[in-house]
This record gives sequence, C-alpha cells and structure tokens, in this order.
Amino acid sequence: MRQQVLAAVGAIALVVGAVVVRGTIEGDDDDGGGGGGGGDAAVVCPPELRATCETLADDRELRIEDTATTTEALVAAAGTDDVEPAVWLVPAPLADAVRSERDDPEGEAVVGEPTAPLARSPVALVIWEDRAAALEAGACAGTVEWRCLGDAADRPWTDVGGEATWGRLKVGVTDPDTATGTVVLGGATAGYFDSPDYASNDFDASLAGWLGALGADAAAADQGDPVDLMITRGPGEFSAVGALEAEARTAAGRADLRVLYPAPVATADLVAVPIGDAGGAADDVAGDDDLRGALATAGWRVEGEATAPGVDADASLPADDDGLPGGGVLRALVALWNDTTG
Amino acid sequence: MALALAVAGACTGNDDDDDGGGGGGGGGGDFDAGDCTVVDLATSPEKLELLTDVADEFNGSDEAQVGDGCAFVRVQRKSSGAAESLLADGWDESVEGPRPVLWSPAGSSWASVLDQHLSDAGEPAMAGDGTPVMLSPLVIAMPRPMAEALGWPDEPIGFGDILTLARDGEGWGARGHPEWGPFRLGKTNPNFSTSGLSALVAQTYAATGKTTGLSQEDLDSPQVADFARGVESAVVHYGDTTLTFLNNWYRADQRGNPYQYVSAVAVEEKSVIDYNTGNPDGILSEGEEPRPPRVPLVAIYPEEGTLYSDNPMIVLDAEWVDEQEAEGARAFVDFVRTPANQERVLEYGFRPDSPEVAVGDPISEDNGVDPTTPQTLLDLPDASVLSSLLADWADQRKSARVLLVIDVSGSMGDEGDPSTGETKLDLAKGAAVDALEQFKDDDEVGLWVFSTDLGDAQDQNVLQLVPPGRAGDVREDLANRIRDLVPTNGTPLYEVTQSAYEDAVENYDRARINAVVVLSDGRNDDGDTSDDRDQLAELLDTLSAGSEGQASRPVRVFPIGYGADADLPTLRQIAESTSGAVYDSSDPQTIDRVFTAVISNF
Repeated sequence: MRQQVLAAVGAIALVVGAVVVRGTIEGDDDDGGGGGGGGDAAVVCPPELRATCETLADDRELRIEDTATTTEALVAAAGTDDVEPAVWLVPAPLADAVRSERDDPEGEAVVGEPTAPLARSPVALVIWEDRAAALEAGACAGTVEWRCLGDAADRPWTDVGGEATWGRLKVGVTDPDTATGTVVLGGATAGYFDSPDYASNDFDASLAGWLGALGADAAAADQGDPVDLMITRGPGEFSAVGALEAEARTAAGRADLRVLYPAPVATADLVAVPIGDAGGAADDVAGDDDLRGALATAGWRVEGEATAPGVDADASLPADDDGLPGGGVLRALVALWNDTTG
Repeated sequence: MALALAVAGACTGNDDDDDGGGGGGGGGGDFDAGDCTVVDLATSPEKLELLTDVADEFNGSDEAQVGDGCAFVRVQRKSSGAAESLLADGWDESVEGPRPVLWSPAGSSWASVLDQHLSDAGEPAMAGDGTPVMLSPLVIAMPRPMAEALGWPDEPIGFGDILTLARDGEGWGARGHPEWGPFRLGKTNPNFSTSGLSALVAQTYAATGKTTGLSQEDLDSPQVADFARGVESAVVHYGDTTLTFLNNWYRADQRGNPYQYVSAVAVEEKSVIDYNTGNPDGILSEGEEPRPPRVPLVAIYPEEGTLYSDNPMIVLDAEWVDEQEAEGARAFVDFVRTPANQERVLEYGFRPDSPEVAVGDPISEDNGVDPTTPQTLLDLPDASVLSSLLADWADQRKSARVLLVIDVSGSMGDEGDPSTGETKLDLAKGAAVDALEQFKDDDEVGLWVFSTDLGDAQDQNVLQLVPPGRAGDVREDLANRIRDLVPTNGTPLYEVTQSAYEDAVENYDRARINAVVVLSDGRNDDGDTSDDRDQLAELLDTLSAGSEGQASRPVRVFPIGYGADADLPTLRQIAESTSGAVYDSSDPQTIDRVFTAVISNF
C-alpha cells in the first residue's frame, strides 16, 4: 500500500523528493507559495494524511512527502535561506528530531516552534477476540500488553495458549517508516520498557530480538493498511495489529475484534511546524476549520470537534504528554526496526 | 521444464464459456472509446464478467475523467499464466489482441514470476506490486459426503490427509466407502493456473510444517519431494483451468454419481459457490438456468494453511504504456475499489478487499463455504523459490501415458496461414513437435495418424507410427515421424477414436495419467455415411462405460477441433464422455498455444 500511496502521490504530486530544500522544487522561480507569515504558506503533509490535508483551502500549495524525507532534508539544511517556507503537519516528536539532530544545534533554526497539538490519536492494538482471550489465559496471563504480545509473536499459537489451526501468531504494525507508524512503534517499545523514558543507549540485543519477532510479518504489513488487511483477510493474515486509533476505527464495534489501548498509552500529537520563515502561518493552518473537521472525520481527536464513529471518546489520553521519547530516539528506533526486520 | 513450460502463451479454450485463458474479448461493452484514452485490461477469466460490468459503468462516468481527457477501459481475458508468459516473452498483438496497460492476474504470485522471468532475461521489472481488488482463498473442494467421511466439519483436514488417502491402497474403502473407489485428486497445472500454483505452494508448506519462509533448502529435502510425489500420485489429470474439473464434476453429478470422477479438487472458494449455485463455470450463458447439483461441494480450508488469490490490478511499467494510459488505469483501479463496486465483487462470490464491505452472502455456509476462515495463511515464497518449486514440480508431477492421434485427411492440406502459405498440417506438425518438449522424459508418448486408404495396401484407416514409449527415448523419433506426415484422404474419426481409446484402456497404467489426444479438422468421413450415427453412439457408449464405475480404467480423451470445419459439438461429446476436455483451434494459427494447453493436462 505504501507503494500505492507513493504512486498516487507521484501522480498528483506538486513536487517530489526533498522538497523543503530550495532549488529542488519544480518552478522554483516563483515564490514557492511561501512568504513570511503568509496565510497561504504551502503545507507539507505525510502521505497517510493526504486525504485529510487535501481539504485545506484550494489556494494553499500542498506537498505530500515522506516524513523521513522531510526530516532528513531539514536536518541537512544550512539555514532558513536553504529551505522553502512551509507549514509541516507532523507528530510532535518528529519535528523535535529536526532540532535535536542538526549538526549545529546552536546554529540557525530551520523550523520554528510547533503549535499546540491540533489533533491527537492514541496508539491502539487491534486483536481478534478469540486470540485475545487465548493470550489472556496463556502467554499474557492477564491483560494483553505490548511486552507479552511481542514475546509471543512469531511463535506457534499452540505455544502461547491458542489452537493448532491458528498457525503462528502474526503481528502487523503500521509501517514505522511513516510518521504515524513511527509513533506506533515508539508506543509499542514504551510497552517493552514499561516506560516512555527510554533512549537509544537502552537498545540491546534483547530489544532487537523482541522487535524482530514483533516485526516478523512486517513485509506483509507493508502491503497495505494492516488493519484493513486484518479485516479483509481474516485472522490468518494478522492475529493482532498495532496502529493509531484513527487507523483502527474500522475495527471498532465488531464483535470479533477488540481494540485495546495498552499501557503506557502513547499518542500521536499532530502539530503544525513552521519551516523557514513561514512564521505565523503555522497557527493559521492549525486553526483551519476545514482541516480540523477533516481530521476529526478521519478519526483523530480534535478539541471542539465531535469524534468520529469508532473512536472511543471514553478512553482518556494522558494530558500534556504524548507518552513518547524524543524524536531522535524514535528515529534510532526505526533504524533498529529496519535492521532487525530486514 | 516448469518455467520453460510457461512458454507458449495463451491457450484456447476447452469449453464454450471458459477459454482457459486464451484470448479473447471481453468487454468494456460495445467498443466506442470516442476521444478517450483506451486502457486495455487483461484479466484472468473468472472475473471477466465482473470487470466487464464495472468497466461499462466506468466508461463515460465522471470517474473516468482524467486530466483534460477521459479514459476508456477495454477488457480482454487472458489466463494468468498465459498472460505472464506473453508479457515475459513478447506479446504478439496480431494473435493475442492488444497489449495491456493494466493486468489483473488471479494472484500476485504471477507478478513475482513475471518480474523474475524478466530479471533472468536481463530485462527490467514490469509488474512490481499491484493493488489487490478482490480475494478468494484456495480451498479443497469435496462432495459433502466425502468430506464428512473425513470428519468434516469437526476435524481439520489438510494436505497431510490427502497424502494419507492417496497412499492408502484401500482408497475410500479405508473410510468406509469402498463404493467410491480410489482417492482421486484434481489439481491444475501450476504453470498456467493460479489455483494450481497456490495448491503447489500450500502442499509444499504442508510438507515442511512451516507457514512462512519456504526456502530452497526445504525444496531440496527428500521428505518434501516424497510428500509431493505422494500427493501428485492421486491426480486425475492437470490442465490449464479448474473449470474442466468443475464442468465434468457437475455432469457426473447430474448423472447421479459425483464420487468417482474425482474426490477433491483444489480450487478457489468462489468456484465452490458457483458450483453449488448450479453455475459450475461461473458464467451463465444466454438461456442457461442455474440448477444446483444433487450433491453439493464443501470447501475445506487446508489445516496447514492456505493462500489468497488476491486479484491484483497492475499498471504495467512497460514501454508501450504512456502516462495518460497509466493515469486512466489508476483511475479505474480506484473505481473498482469503491465500496459500491466492492459490494458487486461480493455478489460475484469474491471476498471484498475493503474493510468497509463486510463478507456476507453468497459467502456463507449455505453455499458450502465458511466466511470465518481461513485461520492460517501462508506466505508467498520468494520469486526464486517459486521458480525452483515449479521446476521441481515438472519432475515430481504424475507421469502420463499419452497417445497422440493426428488427422492426416486431405483437408489438412488446405491453407492454414495465408501469410506464409503453410498448410494446416504444416502448422499442426510444428505445434506437435514443439509440444513434445513439454513431456518429461518419464512420460510415455505414442503416435497414430488416421485417414482412409492408408498403408501399403491402402486398406487401413489408422497407422500406429510410434508405439507409446518413454518420451526421453522416443522424442526424436516422434518428431521425425510427425515432420514426415502428409495429407491423404478421408476422416474416419469415430472408428479411430474408438480404436485409440480401446488401445489405451488395454494398456492402462494405474500409476500414470492415461489419455488420448485426437486432433481432427473435419467431420467423420470414412466413405460410408449410412452408419455414422450408429458408430458415434457406439463410440460414446464405449467411452462412457469405460469412465464410470469404481473398477474403471479412466482414460481421458482430449480432442482438438482444428480448423473451421472441425466437428466441435461431436468432439465435445467425445471429451465429456470420458471427463476430458475439448480444445478449440478453429483458427489454425492458434494451434501452438492450443497444443500447449492440451499438454498442460499431463
């Protein structure tokens, strides 16, 4: 699916590649849609938010980019003169990664202060009801949490409390190379450490092994939205899937599926980040009613907006905390994931 | 031989409704694209009708507006394996129809195979990852009483059980039903058919006890090879389409005995639904009323795991595809994936590939399938492993004993290819010689020719040119004899078919697929029309009697109707009387691919 998305992006893309850097944009002769503090600054969105971002006013230039690509470009940029002004919609830790990873943290900042989160979505775990019951009685000996799920992953169900006909315990997670997938992986790993306060120097062979089992079916999960794959193809495809609540809401309300919010709860807190001299444009974007409404419709929790069907409004989120480590740690975690899952 | 077998391209049909992959037109309805960009879509046959309907709705709709213009989707059918080989080896538009912009094989495995073939040839990939649009799991279809005899629905059943049954000399007698005879398995040729390929992958996983990561090391294991040979030993015959099995099974059912033609067939779940609703080939011809079978089938989801046919839509990255066509193709893919069209997918018996459309009727227990399964899915092996698997299968498949019977009547001297002046016999000889390469060395192949007034004394209707012998030993002799054939006199079709059949029965080899291939370009003509009707009745009686009953020696007859004057209806009767299949090569220039399809049965 990621390839599909990218293909589609290729078709509609206004620009392709590391577009935030000046000189790489088609039609670079014009003002790039930016301008200091301009209300019509270009908006940079990750592919998984494409449909939502397209609801922004027509007069805004929209750029769909991989978050990793944008981050790399911003980390490498020399200064504000080197980047196109734009507003970047991204989970907060990934904007933070730009600051923390620039070679010269004291040098000119290429991104400004992010806005307050305009939308939130917690990391959820979708699991087939009978599989959840089997794990509760078996390997997890109680509530299904990330740690025990990862410990049981890639093992025969008969070893962890399930039936022989279920085959192997297969876990899918949203592709960690995406912005939302990075958050999901960060949340799952917080479950491994039972704390969001972990750093890359905590990474060891034990974690690598745990991630390897959790990601044993990563290739299958990359074939599409893993929650959709789970629903359309059944329990043989995935026994459980980690995804943002917004992505998992198609599973809500089904009698055969359970949606869990394993502790410690992590959330994708979507912020608007000014790039270059975009200045106050970030607040304009963050306050855009169309965007806020579209995010709510897409299953994100947006203050003042009604929650979409399938979003469990009763599941409370940690206030003022996304339950994740810093962006640099998450990027290191994704790198470890890619190493262990091939 | 396996990958080499996927050589020859499309095969023409063995049935009115299913061309098993050959070419042919489907739709996009009436073809009037106006100023729109034509997007040619090649689809596997089982979803031709569905995609034609969807294309008809797409064409002219707002969704077909792309950029400053519009797209017009034109649908043609090509079996998955045939299309793969055409794309890999060169697509001749004059014979095969337009080269596709959009390709929808039944399974993503074909995309892997195609790109592997291209890579082997030093060419860039063409398929990549497609977008799945509908699903159907591989199942083992069995008549309900047979499944119940194995413990269904309470006991899980898998390829291990099939192996046990195949090896049990008592056959169904060991399960309390000696009247059903030996266990017989229907499985299509994996070089042509998606269900055949999926079944091969599934049975190999079953042999290893794994559900993922099938490796070359696994394939090299003697136990895996032994398991494969054991399963293959129960095969009735192969072929390029499951519809041959389903149509024959249905006819046997209508005659009151669906138990002895075949015990189980590896098919897609959709086929079980179609069968049980009285539409075994999945297509209702004009005036055809679906009549449910007397004995319904049930779908067994192999306990070791199974695979989905995911019906990907692949926008080909080929030199003949321009961006406008590709854009139109993507618009159509999006259209197929809309919830409304996914509802339509469900109506046709496929599982929607959309979480917004829940699986429901007709995927229900009432139709012999279980919407809550499969519980275990198998991973598609790497392309290189898949290639090795196919190569191994060519050696491990059940051996055959085949009698080739070729018409050398005078009309075979008629022109077959106006562009070259070659006669029909010239074309047939070339195809037959090429087809010899598809037999494995252990197959036994013989050659007869027939016409009137043959032999030194000009008093014979048939000449037994090469007695059946190991293909590895007689291939060259067969080729030379075929090359030497010349057109002669009449067409004693009935007499010769009967003789060949009786000879095959007399020399029946239980360890092999026993078959007669008859190529004929005309009606029965032995110089005496007065007894034609009696001759045909006697022939059909002989064939039917020999194919039924547990003590029978099932010899399948696969006639090829060659040229415009072939008596296709009679040839079909002959085929059906033995639960074989007829092949239509009314256009002599298709004989190469038809021969390939025929030989795919072995």
